[in-house]
Amino acid sequence: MKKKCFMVVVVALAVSFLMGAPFCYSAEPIKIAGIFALTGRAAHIGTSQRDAVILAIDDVNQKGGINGRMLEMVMGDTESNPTKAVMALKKVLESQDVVAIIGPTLTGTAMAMRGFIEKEKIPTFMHSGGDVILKAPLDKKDPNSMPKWTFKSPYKAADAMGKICQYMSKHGIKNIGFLYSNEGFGKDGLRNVMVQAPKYGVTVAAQEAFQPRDIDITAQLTRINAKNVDGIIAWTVGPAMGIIAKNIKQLGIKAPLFECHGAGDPIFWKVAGEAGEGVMMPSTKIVVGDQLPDTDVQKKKIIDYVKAYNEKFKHEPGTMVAYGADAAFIVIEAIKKAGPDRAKIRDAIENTKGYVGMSGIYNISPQDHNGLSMKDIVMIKATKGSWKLLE
Amino acid sequence: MNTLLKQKDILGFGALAVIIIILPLFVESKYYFIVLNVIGLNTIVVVGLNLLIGFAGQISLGHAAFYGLGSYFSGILTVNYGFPLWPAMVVGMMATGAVAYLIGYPSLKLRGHYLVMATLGFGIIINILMGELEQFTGGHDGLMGIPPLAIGGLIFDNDLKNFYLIWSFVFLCMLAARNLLNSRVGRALRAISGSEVAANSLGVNTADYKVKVFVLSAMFASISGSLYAHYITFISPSSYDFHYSIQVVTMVIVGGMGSLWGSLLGAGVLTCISEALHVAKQYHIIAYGVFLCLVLVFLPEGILMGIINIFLKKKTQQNIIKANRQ
Amino acid sequence: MDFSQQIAQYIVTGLTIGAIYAIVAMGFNIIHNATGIVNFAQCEFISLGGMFMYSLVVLFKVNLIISFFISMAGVALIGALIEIGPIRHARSKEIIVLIFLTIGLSEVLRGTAQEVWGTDNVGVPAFSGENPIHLLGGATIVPQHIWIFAITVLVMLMLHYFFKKTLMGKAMRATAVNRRAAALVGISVNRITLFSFAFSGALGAVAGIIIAPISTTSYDTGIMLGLKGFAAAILGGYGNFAGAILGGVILGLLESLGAGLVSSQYKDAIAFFILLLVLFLKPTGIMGYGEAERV
Repeated sequence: MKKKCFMVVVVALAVSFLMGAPFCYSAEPIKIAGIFALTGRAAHIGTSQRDAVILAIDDVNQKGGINGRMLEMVMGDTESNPTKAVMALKKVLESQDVVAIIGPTLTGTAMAMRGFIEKEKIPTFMHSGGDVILKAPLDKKDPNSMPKWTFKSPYKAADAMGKICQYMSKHGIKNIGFLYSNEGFGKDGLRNVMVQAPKYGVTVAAQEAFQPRDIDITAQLTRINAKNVDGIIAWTVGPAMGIIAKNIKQLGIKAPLFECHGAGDPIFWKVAGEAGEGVMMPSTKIVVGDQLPDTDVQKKKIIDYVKAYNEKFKHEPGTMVAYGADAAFIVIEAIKKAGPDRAKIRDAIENTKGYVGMSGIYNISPQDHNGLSMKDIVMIKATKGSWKLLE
Repeated sequence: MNTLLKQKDILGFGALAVIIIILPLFVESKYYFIVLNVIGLNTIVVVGLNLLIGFAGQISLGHAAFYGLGSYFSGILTVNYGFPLWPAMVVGMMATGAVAYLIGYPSLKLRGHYLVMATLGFGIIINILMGELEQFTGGHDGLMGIPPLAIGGLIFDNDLKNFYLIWSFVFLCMLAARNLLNSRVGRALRAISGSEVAANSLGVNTADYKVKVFVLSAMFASISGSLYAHYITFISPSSYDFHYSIQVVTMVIVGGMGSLWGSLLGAGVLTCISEALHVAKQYHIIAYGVFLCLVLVFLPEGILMGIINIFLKKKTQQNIIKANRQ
Repeated sequence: MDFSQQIAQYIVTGLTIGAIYAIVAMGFNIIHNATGIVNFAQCEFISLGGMFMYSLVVLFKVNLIISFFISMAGVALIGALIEIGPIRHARSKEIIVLIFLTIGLSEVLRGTAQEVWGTDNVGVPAFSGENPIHLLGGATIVPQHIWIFAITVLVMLMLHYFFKKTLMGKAMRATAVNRRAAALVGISVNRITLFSFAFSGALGAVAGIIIAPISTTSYDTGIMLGLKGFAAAILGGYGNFAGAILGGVILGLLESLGAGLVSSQYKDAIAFFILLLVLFLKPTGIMGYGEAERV
């Protein structure tokens, strides 16, 4: 018995020595962390964002890395759960040499992580949709306590909503119904439409909620239709995007349907099928790269990236991929400029000016940790299994 | 027998206290601390829940609601109304207890799967309210900026300090549960779990005891929820959905129904396993499921008793062999 | 659109959702009657039914009817395997242990499904087109809704016949009343249990298949449907087949009328609140007789 114990100790010691021994590379890799919702309810978004980041890192490494040092990603899974997200954050921070974080996916997990990120002082580029991440002060009593280390790549939901309302008012749609999924993202949309619609002379005549997992939304649509609206906005990502389009067709509602800025994704066609025809939405330019005018500075970059993405993952990237890719590329640029130092990287990210990304042109500043504006958003129309650029 | 049990317990609690005090000397990583802290938080809920499941024989799939109520009472009172920290926690505990009484009184008349559904439905309703009552709860965006707990000048604002705070509560809650079980109430509860009808006919007011233990277990969950809110400083409805309810009941069963130390083990093992299995990358959910199935198939009495039983069996067998040889 | 038309639409919608809940509830009931447990893997049966159908119809271009039956048989097989493996070999027959064993099993199934099919929702073509049909009273439906009703009714009739007329069905009912007595009169309880798992696997698959063209399907689509189906079963009286239909329809109507007339934000809360009220007034569900107290 004693002999056995001794052997176990010896083996354990040997293993720990081997594991702990410094690898004899001439240049150690630079580590960045990627935290995504790889499982749980947002897994369909998280996994494609992970792919986008992997592609970006591979791209840099194939070109010889940064000053001869390869990039390496330490991955964490939030399981779409706030507590697990904080645990994943602490876990990736275990390796002291992680210089920056990309992710997480969901706004709820981002909010839970935010306080710890600020405390740990590590630059983090999130790709979650909610504006609240950047808008809400860290300390409720001090309205100036804005997050210093937190950035986010998707453009503000308020701008996306503004774009739709602008388009509507231009095309004579004045009286609309708003349909939202009853969770963080949908509620955020509801607040935004209440602010943006009046700006463009659009009235929200009806507002209805549904659960993200509902299998039928005709009851809500019937109620909206009873108000004789001439346009409907649906704010959700996931299966409901398709269910709403189908239900509208079933009920014979003539009012055009607009969906949110997350809908421009191959998933849309999978869930909506033929009923998706004619649905309009704001989007990043990534899904309509080849339709852009040649004068567009983003065009070449988007076409190259989409090609690479297609080759690696064998399917078209959606609008969510753009957010993941931009976050990764901006962080990588910052590392190139500032070297592997957390504080310097943060400053470099904050000074990103005129960066041409997939989602738009980023002009990040201390006041604006996102850096995109309404100009970067395009309106697209779902046409024959693909997308048509409207304006 | 009784004194022996108590001696064993003194030994157990002594060991637990010593481990809590000296463990931080060996742990440096913040990650390990947050895992330990989450284990602690889960343990408090699981100990309370085990009183209900293991000793009173009633299943609740709604404990996420009580855990959440604790968090939200603490969060809302301190952030929105500037309540002092500890009184907010006590008010939260009392209010959660009151809610548990209101729901428990009619629910615990239900049997078997009806009780499961009632508690599940209650949990879902509370979870919806957390998202909808935006003016109080912050809705789905969550409630942020919850202050950390403090005693005088000592602010529990890092993982290490919270470790001591949370595990002190684990210690106290387990001690309270043990005392309860060794009392008249505990004997009554065990009688109910054995046979409700028999207990009833022997003059135990079973309905009354069941509601009381339900309220108590809700209060345990509430304490844990408050500690969580002050530790993470941000809460949102998705932490309190029915997945959490299922998770804690699973911990009770894996640890061993009706075993106090099993609760600690169940919370510890399942929290660690679900973290450790992340090495299996995207397969971690499958691996977790397989682990759960294996335990439930082969060690249905819980990990603690299961392993002890295997050990005892071996020993008896060895003794028999020895005896035969002699 | 006037008010009576709206009401008609809410009722039609409620009935369709209710029909699905009813089939799911039946699946729960069959296993309950054979074993006394709640089989949470029922949720995964629904998802798997939908995903099998998707694979066959969309990926392998198999004929719709053949796909339907293959998917059903496939999930029935998985149900049977669950019973032959873990459920039968569980060392404890205590109900709560078995219930959580099914939760563990559903994690395994869900995790595997996520690996096989990925996380995206996918659509399945409707059985016979998507052209809206206008009903009397102003409500509109799509042909798939008729399929849902027809298949639900057919399933119910077949179940009725099975349990009332066939030997196997009678044996299953006998087992539900008293396991030990059933075993004593020569019924193989193991076989009954095995059969009930396969049977409710098939039923879960049917639910998943017929709803997929309307709601799309994914590896975890069954969680919410399963939960609502369980609620419907309890509401009607757990283990009672007529109760399952009634519970499903009431729950479906509560949801659609709640969303249409009261508040779409609180529709689920309303449905569950009324469920609780019913249970507090009648603790064994609407049509349940209550379980005999075992002393």
